[in-house]
Order: sequence, then structure tokens, then C-alpha cells
Amino acid sequence: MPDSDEKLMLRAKEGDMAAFELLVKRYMKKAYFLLLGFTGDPEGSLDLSQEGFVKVFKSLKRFNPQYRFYPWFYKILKNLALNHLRSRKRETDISNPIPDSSYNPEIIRERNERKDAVWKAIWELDPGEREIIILKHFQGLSYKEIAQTLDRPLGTVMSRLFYARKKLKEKVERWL
Amino acid sequence: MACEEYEKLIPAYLDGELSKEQKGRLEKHLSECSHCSEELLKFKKLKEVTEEMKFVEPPEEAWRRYWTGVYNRLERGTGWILTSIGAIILIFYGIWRSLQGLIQDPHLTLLVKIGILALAGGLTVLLVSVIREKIFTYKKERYKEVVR
Repeated sequence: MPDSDEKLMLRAKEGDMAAFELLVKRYMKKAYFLLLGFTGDPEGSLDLSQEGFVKVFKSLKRFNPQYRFYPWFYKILKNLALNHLRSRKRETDISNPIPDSSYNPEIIRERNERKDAVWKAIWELDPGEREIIILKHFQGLSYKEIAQTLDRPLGTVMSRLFYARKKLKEKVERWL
Repeated sequence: MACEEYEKLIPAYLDGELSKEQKGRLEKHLSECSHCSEELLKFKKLKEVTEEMKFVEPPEEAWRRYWTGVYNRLERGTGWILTSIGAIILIFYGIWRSLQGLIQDPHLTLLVKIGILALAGGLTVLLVSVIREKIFTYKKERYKEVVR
């Protein structure tokens, strides 16, 4: 049976680089796709996800094995994404004032009109709604996992997901 | 229970996240309510579309080189730390030797030597104060994970 994330973190904390490598390989795609969902920037997301692992490595001493790895890692990635978007917005404000410049339909595989419309609608949701949709649909997390990741009760997750989907459904009604 | 309340259960029903009891109640309501049955169909279609949607993957080569990229960043980080420590030690050593040379210089008057020592002392106090403030702020910083 493979080692749990928390066990790999403990081994890495003791200086075992092979354990850290395993953890990186286990989460690299998940980290990349999460950042891609938040930023819409393929190249930037690859870079940011690697930066996320560097931050994990630097914080190894602070990691408490009583807590789960992914919710902790998620916060690091989310902060990286928010900072990336903020800095890009600042750049955009100066050089090219196009709102929503980070919306990128090309990150969707096998595109068609319907998928484009749905992705645009997802992008236009409030950040909190978009976050929960990405966690459910693009990260494939269960309600329990989302609750752990966001540190919210299960009922709140269910309710937030309902309102986000309801809004999404209303936006894309003609494509359903 | 009103339709609105049942409607809230529909997405969780489609995700298989309802309890047996909730599922039973909703199914019973769906068999009697055409409005909620329609909502179920729309949520179902929305789920199908979002499930079809996948992000474009970077080329396989990017995954193969991924760990090396992370490792290089870690190595460079260590390199920068060592370089900074070395530079700080050498700068302080140079300042200390220059001060020694100035203090021992017989051509300088006592007043100038006192002035140099006061300046060096003052700068040291200011530096220590700034470092202490930085450390204090870092410890209390709630958003230290956030890169500014």
C-alpha cells in the first residue's frame, strides 16, 4: 500500500528527498489543473505549481501531521493563484485595460460552442462559486473532501454548490 | 417541505451524496412534481456537460521534467541563501576592518574617531531594530503564505 501524503511529508521532513519527489509526482497534475482553473494561464500554472511545491518544502518544519496534507497545500496554491491574478491585473491595468483578460477558452479540451459557453459562464461566476465548481467538476472531489479542503461544514458545501450550479444553469439554460 | 427545499437536494442527488432517507423523500416528491422533475433534467444535463469538459494537458515532456524543475528551484534557493550569508559575513568583516584601521590611524583626531564610532554604533542599532521589527511582524503575519 502506498504511503499516505502525511507519511511522505514526515519522511521529507526528516530529509528524505525521494519521499518529497513521490509527493510532488502524486500531486503535480492536480496542482497544475487547479491553478489552471483559477488563472486560465497554462504556462503560468506550470510555473506556479512548481513554486507551490517549493513553498511546501520550505514549510516542512511547520507541517503538523495531525492535519491532512491536501487542504494545507490547497491554501498555498490558492494564494499563489490570487497573487498571480492580482499582479497580472496590475500589469493589464497599465498596458491593456481589458477586463477579464485571464478568461481563456483555449484551456478546454475538444472545444465546441456549448463547452465554450459553459466555461465562459463558469468564469463569470463569483470567485467563491467558481472555486467550488472547479473543486467538484475539475478536481473531482467528493463533498466531504471539499468540506475538508475549504474547512467548511458539509451542509455549507452542499448549499454553496447548489447555488453555484443554479446560477450556472440559469446562465447556460439555452445550451441544455 | 416546499419545492424550493427539494430543489436544493437535486444536485447532491445527482452526485450520489444524499442520505438514504433524503434520497427516498426526494424520489417520492419527484414522482409527484413536474416542476422539480424538469429541474432534475436540467441539472442532469448541466452535470453531463461539465463532466465532458476537461482541461488541455501540457505535453508529456512537461511532466517528465517536472520534478527536475522543482528540484532545481530548491537547489537555487539554497544557493541564494548561502550566497547571501557569505556576502553578509564578508561585508561586515570589511566594515569591521575599515573601522579598526580608522580608529588606529594616528593622523585622525579623537573627535573624528568618536564621530566614526558613533556613526557605526548608530547604524548597528538601526539595523538591529529593523531586523527585530521584521521578525516580530513575520511572526504575527496572518497572510505570510501570500507572496506580495
